[in-house]
Amino acid sequence: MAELVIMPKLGFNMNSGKLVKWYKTEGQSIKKGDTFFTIETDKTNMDIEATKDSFVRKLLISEGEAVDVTLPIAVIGDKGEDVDGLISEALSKLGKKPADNNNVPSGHNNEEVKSTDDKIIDTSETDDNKRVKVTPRAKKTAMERNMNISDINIKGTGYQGGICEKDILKAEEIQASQKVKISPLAGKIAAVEGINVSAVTGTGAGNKIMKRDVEASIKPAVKAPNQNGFEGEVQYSVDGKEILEIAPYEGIRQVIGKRMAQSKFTAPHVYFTKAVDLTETLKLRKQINNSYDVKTSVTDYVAIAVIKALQKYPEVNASLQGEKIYKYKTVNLGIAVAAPGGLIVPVIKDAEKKGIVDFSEDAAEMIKKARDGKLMPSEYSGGTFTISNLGMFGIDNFTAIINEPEAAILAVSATQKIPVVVTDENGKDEIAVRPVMNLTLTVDHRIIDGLLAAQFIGEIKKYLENPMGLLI
Amino acid sequence: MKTLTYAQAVCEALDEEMAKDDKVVLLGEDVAFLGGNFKTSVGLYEKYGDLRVKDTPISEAGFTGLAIGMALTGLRPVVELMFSDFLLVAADQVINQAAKIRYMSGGQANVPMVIRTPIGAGRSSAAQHSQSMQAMVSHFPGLKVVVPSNAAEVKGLLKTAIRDNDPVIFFEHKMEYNKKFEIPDIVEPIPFGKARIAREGKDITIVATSSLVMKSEEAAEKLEKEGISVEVIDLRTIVPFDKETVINSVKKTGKLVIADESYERCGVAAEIAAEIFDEVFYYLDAPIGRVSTPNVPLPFSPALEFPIIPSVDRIYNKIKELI
Repeated sequence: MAELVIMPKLGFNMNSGKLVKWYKTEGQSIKKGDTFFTIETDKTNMDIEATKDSFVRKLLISEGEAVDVTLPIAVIGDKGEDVDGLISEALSKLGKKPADNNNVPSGHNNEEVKSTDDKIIDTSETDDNKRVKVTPRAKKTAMERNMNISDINIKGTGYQGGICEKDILKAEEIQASQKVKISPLAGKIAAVEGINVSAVTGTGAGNKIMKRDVEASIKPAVKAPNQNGFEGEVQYSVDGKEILEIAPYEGIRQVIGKRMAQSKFTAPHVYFTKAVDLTETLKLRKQINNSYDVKTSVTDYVAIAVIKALQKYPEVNASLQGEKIYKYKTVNLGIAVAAPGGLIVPVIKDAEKKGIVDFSEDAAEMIKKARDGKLMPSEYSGGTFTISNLGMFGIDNFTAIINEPEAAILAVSATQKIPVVVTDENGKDEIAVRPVMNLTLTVDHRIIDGLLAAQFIGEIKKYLENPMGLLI
Repeated sequence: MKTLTYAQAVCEALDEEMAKDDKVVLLGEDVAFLGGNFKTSVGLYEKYGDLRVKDTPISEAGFTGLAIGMALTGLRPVVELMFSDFLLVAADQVINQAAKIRYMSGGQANVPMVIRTPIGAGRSSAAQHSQSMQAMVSHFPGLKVVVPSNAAEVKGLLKTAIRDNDPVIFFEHKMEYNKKFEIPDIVEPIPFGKARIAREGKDITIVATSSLVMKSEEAAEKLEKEGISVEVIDLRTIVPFDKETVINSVKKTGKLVIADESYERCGVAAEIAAEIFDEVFYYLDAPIGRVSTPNVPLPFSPALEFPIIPSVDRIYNKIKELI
């Protein structure tokens, strides 16, 4: 039975998806498990597989087109089945007129045509619209070059718009210019990082692109300037600045950029910093790491403290969506990770149900996945609060931008030994050296006021300075 | 090199062959005293006399039969039929006699005869004097069918036709007779069954006969300016057919147009397309195109006649359609 294929919603924040590639063309059969299409979500490209055996009857949107989630993008159904109704219904949902789309089969497709001797002629097989026109020579040329015509995204320029040899050769040329010798591992890394491999220079055998080449292009910023000057021409900006590199603003970089700007420009950010004495937490951590086969990190303790504080102040574990403020009981805690391709935030779901050891294990696994670029969209979306820790880089203090649609984010800085004034049992003040860390809370002032923010960060401080509470 | 009209080239071929072999004789309507209806035998009557250059009554069946008898008894008659349409008057002699004798006599007798006759529309000669009969005669085994293009070709091929030991139908194009061509001082006989690549190209092949070779060259010239490289093959002879040259060219270019002035239905273009199709099927990058005369009697009115004659524009448009 014919049915609509819709743009899937793969993440909490996914409102629309861009169709990157169709792997099937109209009229092709499709088997359960076949890759049907690729979409670009807010942070990654996802291949979508067919969930049943069918025929692709109509592709409603073209590659590069973005539509809102749950809108129809294709019609599948049995061969020869009348899908005209479904197509026009789908097109109206998409706000397209049938005339917008040249490939929409005209109404006569499934009409029975009677020949003079009253035999019913099935026109569905002879309908020109459904047939991919490829000349015998083009087929032969493609075969000789091991090219699969259905994979070639070209428009025929031959007789009656058919694909002729010239089109195949042109496609080959394009493919050749795009085809880059690359090791499977390097290819995979490049795919995950969204690196355009054609721009990478290979240093392997026969200029093959190796893992090191891809990795080098991931971090162009750390490339040391060559004392002898750069290879090739030196470029200058119009006002005379020597240009090191011009990189496109695209892919993950662009997604991060857009989301940061959206957050910063929409939510009025306010910041609250508190210094926390970590003496007790570090002691507890040492004990736990000695008694369990797990290496808990300072972040884990901060995370548990945050979770406890969020349980007490659910107004912070919240989200402003349209006209409604959602306060969550569930804590889905995001931990910002500097992955090679850019910032990504894996989310530890139902974190409030986890003890320190379980949490630490789950967090470690998610962070590793994030660094390897293996997170599924469900694993980096749906968060309710985020922690960003730059402590390992020795940062004294910083502010973070809220990860929308969350309401707050906690920036964790380095633990440093500093002299602090402590009061002993006798009420006498003295100077002591203590490990101290700065925590800076950023809140969306639209829904969180200063008092609440102060109480919340105070709660975190209380837990970290009296960490027995973290274990209860 | 020298400049001659096509008619003069025909005349030179006849003259040179008559001078070389006294068995060569001419007969036909007005070939002697008037020097031919299209001036293709001017001066030959004066040079070779009444015995070798003979005016005949308007009786195509009669003098064609007469020529067959002459050929059977050792002469090499060259018959002129004033229009190729008149092949139908002499059809029984041509098809049932001349074409069959070598076969039916088990090779004991042969007919070394040439029938020269003009084809082509464009002179307001109306439906009975404008047809191109090469398709019809090609249909019957036993006849060689020659469709020369320019003056040098007509001269070289006519020599071969006269020296051939079997009946040859030699189609001259009536619109070419008065046109001037550059031709070499000495033209050697051109073997039958070997097509000429008149122009090399790589994007599309056009196989043409008779005057359409020149029109194809003109179309190719125009297309060259648009970056389309056309290979023009002058077929020279329909029977025997140089399949190899055509196939090789189509394998190279992937596209083929056939231009021939006979009627499209069951025409020469249809036959060539079918003949090579199974060998080039996997090389074809477009359907095979035909430029022929549409299936209507040729009109007398020039306004109606010219649009249906295969023209440079029609060849050009057909190529553009396929490329």
